[in-house]
Order: sequence, then structure tokens, then C-alpha cells
Amino acid sequence: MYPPFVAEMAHEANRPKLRFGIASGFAIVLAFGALAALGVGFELVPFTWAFPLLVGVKLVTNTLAWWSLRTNRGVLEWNGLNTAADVVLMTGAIYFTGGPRSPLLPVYVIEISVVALLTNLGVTLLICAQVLVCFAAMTILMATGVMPDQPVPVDPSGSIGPRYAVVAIVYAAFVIGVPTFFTSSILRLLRAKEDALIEAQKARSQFLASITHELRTPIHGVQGLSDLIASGIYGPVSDKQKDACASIKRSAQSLLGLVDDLLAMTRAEIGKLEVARAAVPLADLVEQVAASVTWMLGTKKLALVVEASDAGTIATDRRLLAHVLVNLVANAAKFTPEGGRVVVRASRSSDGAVLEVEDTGIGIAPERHAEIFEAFKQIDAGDEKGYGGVGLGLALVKRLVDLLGGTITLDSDVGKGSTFRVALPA
Amino acid sequence: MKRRVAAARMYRGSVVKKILVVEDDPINAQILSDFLSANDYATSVASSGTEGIERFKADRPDLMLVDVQLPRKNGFEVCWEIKRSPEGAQLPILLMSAVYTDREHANRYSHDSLRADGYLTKPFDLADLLQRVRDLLHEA
Repeated sequence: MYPPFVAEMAHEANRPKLRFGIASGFAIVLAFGALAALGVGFELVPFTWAFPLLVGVKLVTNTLAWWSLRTNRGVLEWNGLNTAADVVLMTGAIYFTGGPRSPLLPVYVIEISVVALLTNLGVTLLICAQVLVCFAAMTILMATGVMPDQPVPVDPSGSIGPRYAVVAIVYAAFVIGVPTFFTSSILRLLRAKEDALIEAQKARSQFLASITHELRTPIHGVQGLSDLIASGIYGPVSDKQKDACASIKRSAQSLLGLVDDLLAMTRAEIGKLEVARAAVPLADLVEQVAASVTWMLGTKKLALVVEASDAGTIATDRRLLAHVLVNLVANAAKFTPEGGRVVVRASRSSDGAVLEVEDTGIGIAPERHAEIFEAFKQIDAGDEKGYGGVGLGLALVKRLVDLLGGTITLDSDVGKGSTFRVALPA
Repeated sequence: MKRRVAAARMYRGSVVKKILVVEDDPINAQILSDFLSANDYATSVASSGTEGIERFKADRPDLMLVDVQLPRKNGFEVCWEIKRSPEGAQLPILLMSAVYTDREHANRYSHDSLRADGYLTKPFDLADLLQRVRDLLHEA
């Protein structure tokens, strides 16, 4: 029946805001009453019955809104009426103090700021529109003479006397103070929520880091024992058993790869991944990576080619860079069909080093190049081959390359294979 | 095959080298001790830092293989304590740890003479381990 942005104001979670709004409504009624009494008492503005009437109506609508919250009946309707009445009553106060020339014009700002902080964008825009319509209607009616002109409050002495000064200062304090009070209390609330969120995020990453670390130990156990069984230490083994052991080890290794990715990612998130730079001979590193990833090729007939004979050395973190290359090769191996080729290349450039991993795989459409580096986003290959994985590898690659101060670029198109290029500064 | 024969001869000559493994995870400790025993080393296992130091004093091993993350005393502390003692100053110690440990750096900051003789990042290849052990024991 109501648009969602209005309906949501009745939710239990928004009740404290409504209550806050009603309490401040009573405070504002008092302030307005005091201001009107001062203005009339100091003879700055002639008395009119409109003043107590305006204050009285607000008192009634505010009380009704309060009562609706208490009895939980017609909460939306009475609170909506209360807010809408605010604007009409303010327009009335503005009219009786000079219309478009009235010094009370800024009270609209109070209303808008309070509504903005206590409700949502939709309600705020609605009230904003109401303010404009009310003000425009009043001005047009006055301009066309339908509504008689009203005097602006002035000091009887003709200049700014002490009485005028007192009222002006009290009024200024009111206009400035109310939005300040609301803004700062809401900001404090938001700040506290933000802190709690950051804390929770940290605790979650911390937990993830320690749990993944704990996961590594049993995986080592699986790997080590399958090695020992295959080596015949525990007795004679058949070829079939050896194959099974190799498969056990491969499964453990892929699990370990995933756990390592998660661990590195969470460590990077909590800022615990340190970069320890040392001179790294690139050819050596690439050879080591190639040797450590052969298991990934598994039973797939893929050729792994290494081109890094005269790449020289670069000052970087060997472990992190190896992790980058391992993940890139794992990605290439995963998306390259049987009989394909994966090339790992390292070379010096004028201002650093370039490492490339090239494959003859399914490729990635250019418009999706940016999103593949986001965590947990694996491009749906568009067929039912079902490439497994959670899409963490490349996100981690990007993160690690950033940590190493390098850049990563991708040259790829659907059906044309992919080349990931990591450029590292000297 | 040849190596086995040679090792058997060593057994008879009772020159079997003793290796003390300090590792709190029982499965990993079992893998290491089974593997080293199969390669003709006499192995013993301790499951905490303090127990490692006690076993070192009692067993007098020829080499120690120490995990970094240990209950009570960590691997670095075990290494420093042993290397500081007159009996342990010459003892080769290999530290093992999982990747991405912050403590890895700690070994770098210690004095040369108190540093471990090698560092193995888990998971390591058992063949690599054997090579490192042989190198440290000056075996062919």
C-alpha cells in the first residue's frame, strides 16, 4: 500500500529513530513557543492567534504520533502526518513573520536535516518536495494578493536594540544547534557501528588465517604418508597402489594450494603479509616453479615450456613471486584443454623484469578482463564443462603483485588463449 | 641397493647417526621418524620445546630436526638454548616451519653462532630433507 521507503519506517529497527524524532518534536515545540513569546513580548512582532494555534497543532500531532508508537497502532499514518504537519506549520510561522522575507526561513533546513538523518532518501526527497510546494504556494498567494502581506519582525527602535539582539541570538542558537546535535549524534552512532564492523572483519580474517594455518598440518600428514607408502618403507607396494598414492598426493597438493591461497589472502587482508626483498635469480625461480607445478598438469597432456635463460636477477620477495607464478600456471593449466601448451617466460626489461604465463586455453573476453582479478569471481566458461574452483587464485595474484609493487596485465580473447604479464620494478 | 648394503655395514660398525625430531604433530613426527629410520638413522621424537631440550641432554643426537611452532618453547628458543650450551655449540640443527610464518624472520636476527644450520619450509620433499641431513652430517 505504501512505497517501500515509507513502509520501512514502520520496521522495528526504525522505532528508536521515530521515538527520537518525537522527543525532538516536543523540544522544538517548546523552543518555538519560547521564541514566539519572546518575539511578541519584546514587541518585535505583533501578537496573532496564529502563533499559539501553530504551536498547539504541532503539540497535538506530535502527541498523536507518540501515542501511535505506544499503542503500536497507525504508526506510519500518525508519524507521517506529524512530519507533514511540521512543514505546513513552519510555512505558517514563516508566513506570519513576513513570508518570503521571514527570518524563519532556515527552519526548513532544520526539518530537512532531521528528516534526512532519521529516515531515508525517499522520505527526505518527499519532505523536500513538500517544503518547496508549500513555500511556492505561500509566495504565489502572497504575490497575487490572495493572502495579505505580513510584517517582518523588527526592533521598535528601528535599529538592532538589545531585545532584538537577544531574540536573534537565541534563534540562531536554535537554528544552528538542532542540526548540529542531530548530525553529531547520528555520526557518533555510525562511527561506533563502523568500528564494530572493522573489528568484526579483523576478527574474521584473523580466525580464517589461523584456521587455514591449522588445516595445513593434516594435509602434510596425508602427503607425507602417501609418499612413505609409495616408497615401500611400509612394505612392498604394487604399481596400482603407487598410482593411488600419487593420486592421494595430488589431491592433497591441490587442497594445500587452495588453503595457501586462502591463507595468503587473509594475511594480506589483515596486513600480516610481509615483503622480504632479496636478490632473486629469475631463471632459477622459474625453474623451481615449473618443477613444483608439474603435478597440476596431472594426467592432462599439456606441454610446460620454460623460457628464462638470461633473465638476470631482481630484488623482490621470492616466496610471494613464486606464489604468483604458481597461481598463474595453475590457472593456465586449468583452462587449457588437452594437448595445449603453457609457457612460463621471464626477461629483463629496461626498468625491471617481466614475467609471463601464456596458454593456449579457452581465453577471456576483453570486457571481462577487469573482473577476473576480483575474489570469488570465476568467469563462467559458457559451457557445461564445469571448471571447478572458487576464483581465488587470480585475486590473490593481483594482491601479491600489488604488494610487490608491480603491475599485472592480461592479453586474451575468447578462443585465442591468454597471456598474463607481470611487470616488476627494479 | 648398494646404499642399503653400505648402511648395513655401518650398523655393524655401530656408527649409526642419531637424529632427534622435535615436532608436536604426532603424524608428522611419525612420518619423519619412519622416513629417517628407513634411511638408517636412529631417531627419537620429542613433542615440545622443553622436552626437546631434555632429550637433547639425555640422547646426545648427531643432528636435530626442530619444528618452529612448538608448545612451550618454540623452535628458535630451542635452537638458541642448545647452541648456547658448550655441548650443543657444534650440533647441526634444521628448523622446519609452515610457509608464511612471521617468526621465520626471527632466525635472521639472532647471532651467527646461534642460528639454525638450515631452514625447511613445510611441506618439504622428503628427498630434500634427506639431502640436507646428509650434507650437515658430511655424508656422501
